[in-house]
Amino acid sequence: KKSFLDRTPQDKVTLESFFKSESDLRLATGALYGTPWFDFNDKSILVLGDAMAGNLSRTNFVSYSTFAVNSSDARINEAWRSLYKIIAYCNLNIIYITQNTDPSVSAIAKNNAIGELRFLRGTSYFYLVQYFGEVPIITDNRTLAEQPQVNKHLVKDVYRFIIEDLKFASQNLRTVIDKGRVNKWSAEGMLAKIYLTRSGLKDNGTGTGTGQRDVALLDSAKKYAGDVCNNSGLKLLPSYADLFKIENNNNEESLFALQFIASPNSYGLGNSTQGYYAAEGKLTNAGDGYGAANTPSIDIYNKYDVKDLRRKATFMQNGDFYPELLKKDGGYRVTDERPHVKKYVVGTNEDNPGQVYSLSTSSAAYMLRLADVYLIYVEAILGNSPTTSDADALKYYNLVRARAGLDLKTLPVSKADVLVDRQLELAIEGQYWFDLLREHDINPAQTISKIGAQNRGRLTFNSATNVRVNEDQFSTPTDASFKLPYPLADLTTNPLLSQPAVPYYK
Amino acid sequence: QAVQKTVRGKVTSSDNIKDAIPGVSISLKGKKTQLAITDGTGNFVVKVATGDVLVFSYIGAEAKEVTVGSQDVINVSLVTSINKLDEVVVVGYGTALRKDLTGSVSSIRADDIAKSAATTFDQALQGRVAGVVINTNSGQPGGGISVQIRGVSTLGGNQEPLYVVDGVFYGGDVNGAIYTGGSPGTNPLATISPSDIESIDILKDASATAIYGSQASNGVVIVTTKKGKSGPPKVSIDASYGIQQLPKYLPVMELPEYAAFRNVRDVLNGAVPNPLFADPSVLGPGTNWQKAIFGTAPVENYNLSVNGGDGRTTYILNAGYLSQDGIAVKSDFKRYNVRLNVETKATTWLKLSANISGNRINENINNQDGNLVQLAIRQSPDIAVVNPDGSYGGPSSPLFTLTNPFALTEINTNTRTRSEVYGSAFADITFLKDFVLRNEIAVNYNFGQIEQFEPAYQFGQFPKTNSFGRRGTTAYNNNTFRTYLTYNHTFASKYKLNGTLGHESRLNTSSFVDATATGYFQTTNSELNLGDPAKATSTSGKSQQAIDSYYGRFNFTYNDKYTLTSTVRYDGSSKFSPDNRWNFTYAVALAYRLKQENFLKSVDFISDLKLRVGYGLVNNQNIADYVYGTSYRTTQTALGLGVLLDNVPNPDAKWETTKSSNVGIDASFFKDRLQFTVDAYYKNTDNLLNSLSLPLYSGTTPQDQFTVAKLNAPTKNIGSIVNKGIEFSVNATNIKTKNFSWTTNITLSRNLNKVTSLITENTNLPQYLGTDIVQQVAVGRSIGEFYGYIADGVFKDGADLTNSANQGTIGVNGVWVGDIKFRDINGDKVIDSKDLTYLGSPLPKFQYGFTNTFKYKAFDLTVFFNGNYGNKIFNQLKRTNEDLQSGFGLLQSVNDYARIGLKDPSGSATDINNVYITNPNTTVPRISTSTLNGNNRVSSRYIENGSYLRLKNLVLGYSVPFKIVQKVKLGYLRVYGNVTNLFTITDYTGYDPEVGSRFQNAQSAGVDNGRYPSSRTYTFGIYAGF
Repeated sequence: KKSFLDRTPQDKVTLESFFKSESDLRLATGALYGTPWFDFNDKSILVLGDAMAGNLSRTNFVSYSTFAVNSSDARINEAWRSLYKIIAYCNLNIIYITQNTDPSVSAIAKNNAIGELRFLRGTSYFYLVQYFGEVPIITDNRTLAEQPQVNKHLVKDVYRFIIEDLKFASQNLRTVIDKGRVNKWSAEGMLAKIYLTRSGLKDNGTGTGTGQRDVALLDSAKKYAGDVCNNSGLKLLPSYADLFKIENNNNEESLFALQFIASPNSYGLGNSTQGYYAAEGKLTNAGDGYGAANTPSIDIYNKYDVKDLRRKATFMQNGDFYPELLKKDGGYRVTDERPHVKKYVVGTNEDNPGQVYSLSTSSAAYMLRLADVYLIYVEAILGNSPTTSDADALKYYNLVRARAGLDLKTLPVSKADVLVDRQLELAIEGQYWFDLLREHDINPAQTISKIGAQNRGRLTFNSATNVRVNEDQFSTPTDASFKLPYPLADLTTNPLLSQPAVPYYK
Repeated sequence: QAVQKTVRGKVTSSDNIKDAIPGVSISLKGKKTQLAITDGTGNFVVKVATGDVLVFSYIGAEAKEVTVGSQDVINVSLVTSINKLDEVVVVGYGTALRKDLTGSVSSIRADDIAKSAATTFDQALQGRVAGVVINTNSGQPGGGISVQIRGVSTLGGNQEPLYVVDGVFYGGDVNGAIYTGGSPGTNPLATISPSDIESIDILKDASATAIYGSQASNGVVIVTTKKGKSGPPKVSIDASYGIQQLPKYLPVMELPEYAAFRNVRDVLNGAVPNPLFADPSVLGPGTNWQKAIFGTAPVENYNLSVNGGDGRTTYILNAGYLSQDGIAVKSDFKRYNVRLNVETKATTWLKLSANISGNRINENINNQDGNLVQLAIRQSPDIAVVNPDGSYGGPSSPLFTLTNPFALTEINTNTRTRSEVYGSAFADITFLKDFVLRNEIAVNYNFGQIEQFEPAYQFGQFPKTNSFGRRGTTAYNNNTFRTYLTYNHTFASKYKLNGTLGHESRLNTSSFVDATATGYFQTTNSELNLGDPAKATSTSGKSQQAIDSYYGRFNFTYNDKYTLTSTVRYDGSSKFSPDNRWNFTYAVALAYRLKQENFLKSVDFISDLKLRVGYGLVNNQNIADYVYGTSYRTTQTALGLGVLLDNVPNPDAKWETTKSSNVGIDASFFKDRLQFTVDAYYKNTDNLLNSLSLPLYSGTTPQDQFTVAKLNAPTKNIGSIVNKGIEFSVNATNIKTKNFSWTTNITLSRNLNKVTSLITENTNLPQYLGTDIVQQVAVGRSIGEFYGYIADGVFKDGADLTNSANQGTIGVNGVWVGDIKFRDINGDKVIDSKDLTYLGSPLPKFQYGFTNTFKYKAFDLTVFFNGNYGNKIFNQLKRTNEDLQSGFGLLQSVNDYARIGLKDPSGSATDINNVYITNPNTTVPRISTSTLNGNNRVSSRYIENGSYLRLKNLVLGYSVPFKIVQKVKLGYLRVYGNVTNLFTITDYTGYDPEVGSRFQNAQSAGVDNGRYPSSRTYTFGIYAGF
């Protein structure tokens, strides 16, 4: 019987009355593709993934492009807390769905939901371990109330945990496309990337340093990437530039993307990337467009072939014309002596009705797409050789190149070429830093000198003559630069982060 | 020769001439027979003979003797306030005589309140009660306050005492932080007009508060409104008019200084200087935005009261109006209130009473904290408030610039309206001699409305492209039902017994509806239907809290010498899971009046001496609802509706308990001319309930903080806090002659706060400002101590830089001469998180108030000082506006930035051995394109001394002589002038050292983030009546 003192919430649903149907499970998992990721997507992902990696010039984010990031940096704090927030939501939902789902819900549906959560959790840990190395593995956030201070865990255990999550996901997620959500192919693609990264690490968490990767792990990477390439039936979107238009959110090529919804008033629901990267206010007409200082590095610019369609889709330069931007003016003609970011710049609310507000667009943000998996597959086939004559490698590499408008390569496929294409294909998607990291694991000295040789300066096209002028700038990282410092806030509250990592698996 | 004659006269109170005293007994000296008694207006008629000595006596007043001479009129003024022994004190579910009190209770009376010319009653309390700390969190009219009684004994969001107004638990669970959809919280107590208040009794120790058990751990403030007195109708009028102004403007750069600074910075940074700044000397002073948004503002206050009654029924009707404009333009506060209190002795065994009050508050909070005030300090001086063509000024670029704060006050709307009905009604049934059964209902219904509109605009090049409108309503209902039985009997005229036994149940319900629109096609009207329906949003919410309680109190007094009080209460709260729901409160206290001992009876200079000791346990349940369970809330997602986990649950959360002991002495000397009270206490709070501030990897955020996609942290019993302290109050009548008197009142409180345990030994609870930790709660320290680096000035030269601990890569774009040098606490030659340390406490070491009142004939002068000593303030305004990389206006202190000189002028500026600082004692770093030094990290650079001494009130009054007053048919007339906050002596460089706390939470106390400053007010007013 209900007593005078029983006052359960009337504007929330309690756990006891939730998870009664598959639709309830979907409501809980669907909420974790968007706004909980906001703080990560807001600034951190591109600053860490592109500015630090040298895709952007040193004009902005100087402490990143000069490898002088300290623990009080806000971007580190945002990445850390946002990824751990995803983990918290996933952890608790995994526990509750496991324990509280009504028996009428099918095991397939229940495992699919847990698969989604374990995909999101494993992926978050994958980002964390790449940025920070040893991190605490937390699986039940309720225990932190009792013991807030936790040890960080060994890198090999973090990877083992991640792989277990993604394996569960790949075995339990459905194969059918469920727009905006992850499926079996998403999990296999991510798993391939994880195996490829793990293959360059020793069990003590440092890179092999020998130029060699673990063959068994490489085979796993190859197996999962190959399954996606050969058996998923998925295809690349024909036009590279179309990938970043709002109308193509969650197209066939998208394996995992953050889901945003433009909102004029609710902070944190939308994708803020356009607001920070659009070169001028006119482009967005939303009171944002803070991107004047964000220009491409000379390094990446030098790598674009003149035929490469990806350049114009990634960076806008003087003279470029974009019919999809500022449609009411008949399109946008760039008149700016410096190139700026185009990717994720979608224009005004008039160009995209209801989809653009200040620091808020509806662009889904790619975390994993098919082209990335193609190139992972090629990299896994290459394995420990500088070149390969594998037909699959050539096929998938050329699928990516063909779409970019480039000449097709012939056998053998070289790893050096593939890495350049990865940089260009995935620029301004927060991924290049991880490629450098993966290379540094196996070839530290070579990677440091490669980065040291990257021209991180900016370039200018003379407005009258269109002659290009470079302002050269170089920065050389050290081995220590390949791990970011833990955020000061948590170093302060948890001295154990400064202590050696402990095993997670006993 | 004695002449028989008839003498008339009037008896009034010496402290408040408004109050004629009815019921004064008049007798002849040496005889017991009463000759007469004053009527309802204090008038009397007696037949006497010349030479007779009349004795005027009245409970609670000093008896006065007057010898009858030739006069036919004898007006007598009785001193009513000095002897407090017979004062009636409200103790919760009953009253007690002060002489019988065993607990620590401080009281404020109507005339103290009248003296302070306060617009809300908390202002009348400030600095006047020992052990009670009141901080204004915002100087906005009707703005939020925080009240702490005997230190901070809880960590949760609510550290405020329980307010009980005529039996109504006021404002509800979070003291009426009634949802108004805005920040800062408005002051729920602002709906009470100070003129309506008869007394405020503050229960401080456990033996006093235990009767309120469930919510008493922060102390209890009982407010009793005025009641009618029998007699013909008496009318009184209060009216005042005042002018408020900002006492101090922050020194910001004027345009020539700003231009010169920007030129230097642009050259150093290799940027092109602004051509308009080419010659700073020809520039005018530019815009001081503070002067644009702060101005002189009026405050008006009117109260009218009628009271009267007969032997059976008494009534009082009060009506009041307050209109206060804020010193920041477009902020104001209007209060309308009506109150009717009626009491009737229906039959010999039945007494009925009803107190009903209706209030309405209209607030304009357009110009509120953390918003326009900060903007006004930050905006650059080179932008005009209004352009010559009449348009609003704005920056010349849309990006990396700030909007026009003055224009926003003009075009935006942000109002709150509250309508409130509250009151109580009871029936006292004396069904048997000495037994009274009270049945009481107390209710509070509060309805709020929110109207907000921000049209799209363009100021200069600064656009706001989305208009925004909001409408909201809030409803709050609090119903309390109580039944209690009181037994009162004196046996053998020595053994006084008093017992109370009762039950109470309370239910709060609050709900809101909130709707927004955007995409308005015009800027005149703001109703939501004029916006774009496709982007409109709506939401609503509802919550309930219930408490059920049983209580009893037993009082026994022997021979006026010993009094024993014991209290027990048993509470159940909906906040806890069924297993942890019910909890006991208890207290026991003893008072011993030494004066009643024979050896002191003959000691004349001691008028009274009483010793009090008490011990008890009280509880606290002030946490968010349903934290013991798990709930989900809805959220918008691109995939359609989403449901997001709301909190990390803790089914084990249980009541927070505070055990406290109190020892007090009340003493008075020289016929009560000197009164002295001292109390020492020790409070130990266990099972502190708090929404945990966990490390970031928990993914959770405490209940009171904002973040995107928030997962509420678990609420948990996490540790213990000890508060110990000592409080003094002294009342002294220094001089008292026929025409002149001088009285002094001093209060002094010292509280030591210490966290004695947290979940685990090394746990610290951080308090964030953005992503930075500024404060921490740690074992062995007081709550919310500041935490950061110690700044040791700037690096003076290359040797200083290379010999100091490593702060990062040395270089012009790294760490360089002129950057802030941080102290290497652990001596490892590296500055990192191990060098963070505690930088001081926002809690004062002691607080004081002293009032001197002088009376000369009809003139009176009250001078009231108050202050804090020994607290620190984190000046976040300085941190924001002393940041050399800022593109906006800056504080004048920036002019002293570290200037880099070259030892060899022809040498390199990048040679570390060739550079030095020409003003090495500065605390402001160098100008740089990019420094990797983190010059503005949280450090002692922003910690300032918060001690202050303030002339809080200066009142000069004149009571017009009765002879004159009579001619205009008035009973009395007093005129006065009052200055509030006349001056403040402090080293603090911000607006006001009385900073308060950001979330009404001691963990975040003492951070000055640009709160709305308190005003200086000049008031002129009258009291009149007949």
